[in-house]
Amino acid sequence: MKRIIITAMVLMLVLASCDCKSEPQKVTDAPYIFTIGGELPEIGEFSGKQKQQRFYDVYTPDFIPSDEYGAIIPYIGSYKTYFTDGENPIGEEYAAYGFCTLDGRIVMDASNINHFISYRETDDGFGYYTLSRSIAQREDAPDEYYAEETLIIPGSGEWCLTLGPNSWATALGGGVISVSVYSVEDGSEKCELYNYSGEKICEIEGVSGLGLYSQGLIGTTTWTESGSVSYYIDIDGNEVLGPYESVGDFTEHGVACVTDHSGGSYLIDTNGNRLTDKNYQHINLNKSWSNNTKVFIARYLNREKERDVYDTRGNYLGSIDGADSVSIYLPREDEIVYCCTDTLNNSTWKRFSDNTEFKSLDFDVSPNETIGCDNLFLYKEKSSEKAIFFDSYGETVAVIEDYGSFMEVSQDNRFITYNPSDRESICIYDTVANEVIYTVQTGDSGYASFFGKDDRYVIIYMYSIDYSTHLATGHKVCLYDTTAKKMLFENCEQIMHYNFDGEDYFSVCTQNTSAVYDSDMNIVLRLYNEE
Amino acid sequence: MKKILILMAFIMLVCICGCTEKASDETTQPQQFDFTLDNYPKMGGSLANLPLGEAVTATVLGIDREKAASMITFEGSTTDNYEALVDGTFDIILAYEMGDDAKAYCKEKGVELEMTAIGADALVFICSLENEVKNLTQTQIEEIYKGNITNWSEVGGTDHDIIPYQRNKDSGSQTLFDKLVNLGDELMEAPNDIKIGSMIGLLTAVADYENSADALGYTVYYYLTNMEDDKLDTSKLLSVDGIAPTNESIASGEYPYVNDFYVVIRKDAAADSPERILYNWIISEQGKELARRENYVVK
Repeated sequence: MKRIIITAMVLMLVLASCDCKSEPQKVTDAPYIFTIGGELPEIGEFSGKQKQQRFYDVYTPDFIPSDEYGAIIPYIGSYKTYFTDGENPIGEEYAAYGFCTLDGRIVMDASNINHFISYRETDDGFGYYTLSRSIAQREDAPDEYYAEETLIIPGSGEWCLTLGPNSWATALGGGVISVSVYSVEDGSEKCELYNYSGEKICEIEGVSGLGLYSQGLIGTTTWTESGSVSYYIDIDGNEVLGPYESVGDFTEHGVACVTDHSGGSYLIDTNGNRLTDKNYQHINLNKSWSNNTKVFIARYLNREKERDVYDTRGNYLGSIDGADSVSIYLPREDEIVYCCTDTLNNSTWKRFSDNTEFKSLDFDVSPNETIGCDNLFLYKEKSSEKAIFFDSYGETVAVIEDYGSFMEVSQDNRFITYNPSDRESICIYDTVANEVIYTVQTGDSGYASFFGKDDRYVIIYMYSIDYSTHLATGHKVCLYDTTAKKMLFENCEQIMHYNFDGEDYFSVCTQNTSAVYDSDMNIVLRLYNEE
Repeated sequence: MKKILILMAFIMLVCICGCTEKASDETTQPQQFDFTLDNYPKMGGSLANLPLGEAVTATVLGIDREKAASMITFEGSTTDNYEALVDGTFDIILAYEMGDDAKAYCKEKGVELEMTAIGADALVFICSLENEVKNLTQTQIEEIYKGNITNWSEVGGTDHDIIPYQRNKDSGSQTLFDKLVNLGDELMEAPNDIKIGSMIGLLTAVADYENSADALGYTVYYYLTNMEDDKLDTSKLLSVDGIAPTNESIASGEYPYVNDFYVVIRKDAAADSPERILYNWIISEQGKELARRENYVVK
């Protein structure tokens, strides 16, 4: 019996120690759950609470000038764009803009009467916003009465100049805002001058248009039955020089081009003295797209092939003896390059300073394609549809195999945006890395523009189109950072860039949110709109 | 000897059965799933559910709310969100009931969805604290927005014109108004100055309108009580048919203008997929507790 018991105990011990789990369990066979042991953790409040404060306690759909804002930035409260086919509405155009301070306090609520806000800076450094907004249509207004007014608001928000319907600013500069006013009731015209504090300086009756205030003078134009008559007036509206047939703005060195009724154009100084001996067919003040260079290009009478070049002081720089067609570019200060195209469309590129040729293109092999830049030019190989970009030194900047159409180039030719041949996407090309760094499918149509310091950011607009009406039926906007090489915002309704006081700000509107970001992508303001 | 053998066999049988039973218990015990930044399902939804989505993400992953907010996408219309779920852009959404467009899309793509109502929101009407009126019937609301009732005296208030603010077309509030009040073409055309371009604009306008006792507006309950609760200092919620909008009356459905929201996944999501595990957690008691903490009206 004793042996039986011992044997049984040993047997039990052996079996108890067997590892029933030695056979591994298949994890996928077991259902999973998630559960939190104990209490739910404290996670704090919702992080995205409306990040906004208000400058005024009350709803403020109208702009109120104040010297307490410091600076103001627009935000896009809501944005939808639809179009009509001229008869049947596809939808309705709707946009709402507001203003906030740089620390996110709302000074003007986004209201659907505020259609659009743009920002510009004059050559003399005056930064201002232009706000267009709806006003109530007068019951007795004629059909051509535009129920819209324009507000000019400095970046500081200290004052506001309201231009009623049929009024518009024609030029800002030299401390003066020129405004033309047309009366629908009696067809009369007048012009008004304001200073950079929004105060009216003078009013000139019977004048159709005003130019830029420079060197104490403004050009005026009046249209009569027999043609146009132009004068230069002083800040008080007194005629000083003229009459001429047409006048241009004075440069910062006091030189302007005029055309008089005896025929021919020439340069004058602020005393009306001629600076050029001969009369020209016409004279243009060419301005660079990318720097501050300006030159006068004077075309000979009878459209002969020669063109004379003058600087902004009226000094003769030389002549361009070109072919039938000449395009002139100002890639750098003190440098002019030009392209002559002959009757067979062959192109020759030359440097003005020493008249040397640095590129020659045969139209049958590599036709030149104008892309509207000062320091980037393009030709395509007919045999391969390859696009070759070169600069004003004749150096190749980029070679793109699958090229469709050009959009823009960033500063220093670093990045190029373009459509590939299928036209259904937009590519961002890095000319240093020699590769496409980003491609976005745009659908029917799209465009990409560079913004920000050093053109760091790309805003890409994408449209869908109804080809039966050839009208856009929808759009999306996104923002790409070429430094971080990533998309920052996608599928937005609208994105606007503002560079205020040297800093970049972005107003970003999605279907649900309205936000303002600074250049570090910190949130300045965030509002939630509903889905 | 025979007894020894019988005894040994019995002992062996007992031990083996014990092992087998233990093994069976282990295959039926669900395992704890660990969510990580890499396996967390792609979450989207309606804007009103963003705080909940953020809270779920932060709680489940053990991260802060800012980080959680950056991982989820609560944009677009309800239809957009359902379509994104069907297309695979999202794995799980928190959204209101899908409309006919979304249903048609699911059918077209041959995708079935699985959803559970987790909470409710409501269309609420607001007016100034100065207004004597405390309640409107559904009929009165309809008649006001058809333009047939134009004076507060017709609904128990003083002799002042009613200023019925509206939201811009396609806004969430307007969509909810159109769905629940359902006036169709009979909704009066609102002049631009009483058509407000944003929810915050409407709330502020009603609260601060210069003739404040005259203004009437509407919005979504969750927004007003959680995002813009300071507006209740100068505005008040109106009862409808005698029922005040509260968490309780909305949860019970007693308040008439109620709209459920759901957690939704694709029906074919696997049992061990992160989205199904998360779905199950959201509808669990812990998930509901979290929603209550976020001040949602929980079903």
